[in-house]
Amino acid sequence: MTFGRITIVLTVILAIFLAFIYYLPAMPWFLPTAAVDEAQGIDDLLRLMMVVGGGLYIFIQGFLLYFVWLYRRKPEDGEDAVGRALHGDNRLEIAWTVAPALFIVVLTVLSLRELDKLGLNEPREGARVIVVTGQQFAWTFAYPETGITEVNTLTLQKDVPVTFNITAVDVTHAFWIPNFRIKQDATPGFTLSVTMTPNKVGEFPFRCAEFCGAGHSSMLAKVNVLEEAEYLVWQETKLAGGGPGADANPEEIAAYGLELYTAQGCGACHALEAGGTSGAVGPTHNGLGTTAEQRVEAADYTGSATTAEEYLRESLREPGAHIVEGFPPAMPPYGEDKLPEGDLNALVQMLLQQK
Amino acid sequence: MVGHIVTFVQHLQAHARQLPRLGRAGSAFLLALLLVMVGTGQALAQAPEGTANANPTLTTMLGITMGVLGVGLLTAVLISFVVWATGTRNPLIPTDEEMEHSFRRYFWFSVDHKVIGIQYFWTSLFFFFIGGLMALLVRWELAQPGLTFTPDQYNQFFTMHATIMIFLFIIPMLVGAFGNYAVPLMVGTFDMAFPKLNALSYWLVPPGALIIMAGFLAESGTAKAGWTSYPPVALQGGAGQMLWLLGVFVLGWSSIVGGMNFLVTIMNMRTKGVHYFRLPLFVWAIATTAVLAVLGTPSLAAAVTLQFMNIAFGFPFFDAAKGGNPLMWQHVFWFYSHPAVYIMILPAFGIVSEIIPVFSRKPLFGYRALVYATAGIGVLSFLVWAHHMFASAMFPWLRIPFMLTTMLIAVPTGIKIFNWLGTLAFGKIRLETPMLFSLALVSMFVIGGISGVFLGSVPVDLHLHDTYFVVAHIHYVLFGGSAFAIFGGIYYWFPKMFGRMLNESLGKIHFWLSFIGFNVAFLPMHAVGALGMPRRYADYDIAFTELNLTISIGAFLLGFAQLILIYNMLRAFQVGKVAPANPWNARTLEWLTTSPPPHYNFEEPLTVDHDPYDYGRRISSPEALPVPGD
Repeated sequence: MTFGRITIVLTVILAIFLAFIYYLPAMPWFLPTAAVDEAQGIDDLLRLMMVVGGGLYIFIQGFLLYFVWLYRRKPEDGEDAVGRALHGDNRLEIAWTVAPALFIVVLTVLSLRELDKLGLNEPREGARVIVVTGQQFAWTFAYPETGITEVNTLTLQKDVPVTFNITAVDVTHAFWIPNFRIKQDATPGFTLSVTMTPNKVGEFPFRCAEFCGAGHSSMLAKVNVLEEAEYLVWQETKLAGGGPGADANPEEIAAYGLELYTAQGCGACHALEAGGTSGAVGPTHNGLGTTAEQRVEAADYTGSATTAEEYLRESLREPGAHIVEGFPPAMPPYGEDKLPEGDLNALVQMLLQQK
Repeated sequence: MVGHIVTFVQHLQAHARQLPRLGRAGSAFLLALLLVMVGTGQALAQAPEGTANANPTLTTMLGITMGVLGVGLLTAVLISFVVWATGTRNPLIPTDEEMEHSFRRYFWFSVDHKVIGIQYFWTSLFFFFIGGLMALLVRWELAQPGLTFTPDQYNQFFTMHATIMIFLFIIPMLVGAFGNYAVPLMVGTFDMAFPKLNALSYWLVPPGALIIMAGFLAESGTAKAGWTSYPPVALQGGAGQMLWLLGVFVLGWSSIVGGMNFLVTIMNMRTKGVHYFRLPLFVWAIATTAVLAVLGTPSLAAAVTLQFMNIAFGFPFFDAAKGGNPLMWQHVFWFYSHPAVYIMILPAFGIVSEIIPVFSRKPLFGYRALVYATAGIGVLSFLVWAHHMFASAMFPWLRIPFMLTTMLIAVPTGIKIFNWLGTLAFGKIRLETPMLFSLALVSMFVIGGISGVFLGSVPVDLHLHDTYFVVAHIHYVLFGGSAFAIFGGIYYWFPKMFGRMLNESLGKIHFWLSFIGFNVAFLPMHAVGALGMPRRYADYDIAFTELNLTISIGAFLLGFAQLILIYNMLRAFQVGKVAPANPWNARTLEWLTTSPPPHYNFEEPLTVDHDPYDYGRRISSPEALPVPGD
C-alpha cells in the first residue's frame, strides 16, 4: 500500500521533471530563438538528449541516494559490520553494458541522420554566396554577386538560402550566430562552406567563438535578416555608395563618419569617447586630430605624409606605414573594396575633429 | 666560507673525475643540454614582445632572466641528477641515510618513493592554490559586464589557470603524489623499480613550473592563447608563449619518465601472491594512465617543439602565411591532450574504486569488469581526439568516425558507474569524508559524462562548441571528478602519509561547502553557454549578467572552502589524533604497515593470499588480516 503510493509519487515527480527538461530548450532563458530552418532539427536533438540524459541521471542518482540511505550503517550494526559478500553478477554486467550501448546507438544514429539532413557543407541550388573573412578583430562580409562589402554587419534576406564561404586572414576565428546554432572555424589557408536559410526577420548577435587574441570578446558583428523588399532597398542604398552627397556640410560628413566608425567596429580596438568605445588593442583615437598633427611635425618623423589628413588616410589604407610605438602591427589594411573613397573621407574628417 | 669554497672545488673535481664514467652518450647529452640552454636564452632575448619592437624594459629583462634561470635550474637539476645517480657523493649534501629522519630530505634527490610522493603532494597543493587564485581573478572580471582588468591580463589569467591546474595540480597530484606514495605500497614492495629515475621525474617539475611562471615577469606577460595554444594566435605570444612551450615540454618529460617507472614497477615488483587480478583498482588505473603518458606525451612534446621553433626561429610549421598548416597543431596537440583528460580522470576513478568498497564494507562489485572498463577507456582515448575539432577546418566527413568512437566511450564509463552502485547495494555504508567525496564524484561525474554525450553529437556540438557549456562540462569532469577524488584521496591517505588523522567535522564542512560552491559555480555555466556566451570572453552581453554573477559567487565560495582543507591539515600536524596503521579497516596492502611506513615500507617481504577487497569474509578486525611473511 505505502509502497504503491511512493511509486506513484515518484513517477509523477519524474514525469514533471522530464517534462520540464523537455521544454527547457524551448524557453528563452535556455536557448536563443532559432532563426534558421536548420536550427529546428538541432534543437529537437538537444531536447531528446536532455530527456534521455536527464532520465538517466535521475535513475542513477535515485539509486545512489536510495542505496546510501537504505544500506547506511545503523547504530545497532556495530563497528566491524560488513556487507554481503557479493563479488559481481555477469547478467547485470551484460545488462548495464548493453542498455547504455543501445541508448548510445540510437542517439548516434539520430545524430547522423540529422547531420545528413542538414547537408551543411553541400552546395545548394539557389543559395546566395557570401564570403565571410575574419581578421583581428573584425568580420568582413563580401557579396560577390553585387560587389557589396560590409564590415561587422551581415545583411540577409529571409527565406533565401545563403552559402557562407568562411575564411580568415591572420589567426583562427569562428563564425557563430547563436540564433543560427551552426558554428564554423575561420582558419587562414582554409575556406569552409556552410549553407543555412534564415527564416526570422530581426537583428541577431554574431560572436567570434574561437579565441583570437586580446580583442576576442569585442569581435562582435550584427546580423540583419530582412524581408525581400527591405533587402532590395538595402542593396540599392549600398550600391549607390551611401553616405551624404558631395554638397553636404562638414557636420553631416563627420556625423556619417562617426556612424561608419561604430558600424565598422573600429571601437573593438580603439578608444573614442564620441563613439562610446574603449578598445585598448590599438592606440586611442581621443584627440587624434591633435596627435596626428604633432606626429607629422615631430623631429624624428620619417613618413611621406605631410599633413595630418594625409597621415590618417595612409594609416587606414596602409596601416603598416605608421605604427605607433608600443602597439602591435595588427591593424588590417582598408582598401577601396572595404572602404570606398567617400567613406574614407568621412572617417578621416571625423577623426580630424577629435581635438 | 673559505672552507665551503674548498669543499665545493673538491666536489667539482670529484665531478670531473666522474665524467669519463658518463661515456660518450652522457657527455653528448650534457653538451646538447648546454646548447639548448644557450639557444633558448638567445631565442628568448630576441623574442618579439608582442609590441612593436619597443626597447626591452626592466620587466622584460627580468622575465627573460627568470626564464633563462629556469632553464639554468633545469640544467643544474639534470647535471646534479646525473652526478647523484652515478653515485658521486656531494660532500655538501648529507647522504640519504643521514637525512633519514630529517626534514631536509624533502629538498634533495631521494630514492624513497614516499619522500617523492610527499614532495609531489605539497608542490601540487601549492599550485592548486595558485591556479585557484587565477580562477578567482577570472571570475572577478566576469562577475559584472565591463572590464576590470585589460583583456590581455584576463587572457593570461585563464591560460595560466588551466595550465597550472592541469600540468601542475591534477596530473602531479594524482599520478605523482598518490601514484608514487600508494602504488609500491599497494603492490607490497619496498620502492619503485627505478628509484633514481623517480627522483628525476619529480625534480623536473620545479624547473618546468619556474619556466612557465617566469612569464609573469615578462613585459608582454605569460602565455595568453589558452592552454590549447592554438596557432596562429599563439605565435603572436612572444616570450611568455615560448616560456610556456618550454615549461610544458619539461613537465611532459617528467610524465614520460614517471610513466615508464610505474609500468615497470607494476609489472615486475608485485610481491608474492599479488597477481594481476589482485591489483587494487587504483594500481590498474595508474598502469593505464602510465601507458597513456608514455604513448601520448611524446606527441605533445613534438607539438610544443614545433611551435617553439616556429616562434623562435621562424619555421613555417603552423603559419599559414608562410605555407604552414594551423590545423596540424590541433591534431598533434589533441592526440596527446584527449588521452590527457583520461590521465586526469582514470586515477580519480581508481581512488573512488578504493574508497567505495572500504566504506561500504563490501567487495568491489564486478572487479574484472572495472579493470576491463579502465583498459577499454585507455584504448578508446587514443581514437577520439578530433571530437575537439568538429567545428574546425578539417574535412567535414571526418566528424563521423570521431563521433562514433566518442559515443562508444560512454559504454565503459557507464560500466564503472553501475559497478560502484552495485558495490553500495547491500553494504554497511559509513559516511566519512573520503566516502562523501567519492559519492559526490559518482554523482557529479555523471553530469559531466552526460553533457559529454551532448558534445559528442556533431549537430548539437556545432551549437555548444567553444561556449560556456564546454567549460561547464570540463569542470564537472575535472573538478566534480578529479578534484573531488583528490580531496577524497587526501582524507583517505593523509593518515598513512603523515601519521595523523584529519578532523572529521572540518572535513564534512569542507565537503559540503565545496559541493554547494561547485554546483552554484558550474551548473549555470551550462545555461549561459547554451544561451550564447562563448568561452574565453573577457566581457559579455549584459543579458548574461545574472548568471555570471551567480557563477562568480559560487566560485568564491568554492575557493573559500579550500582554505578549510589547509586549516585541517595544519591543525592535524599540531593536535591531530595519531593515526593507527589501519584507521579505515581497509584490506589493501598499504594498511599492513605503520603510518607512516618505515623506509623500506614493510618489515619483511609480504606473501598475500587474499583479494584486495574481500570484506565479505566477515573478518575485518586488523588482527585477522593476513600476517606479513609466510
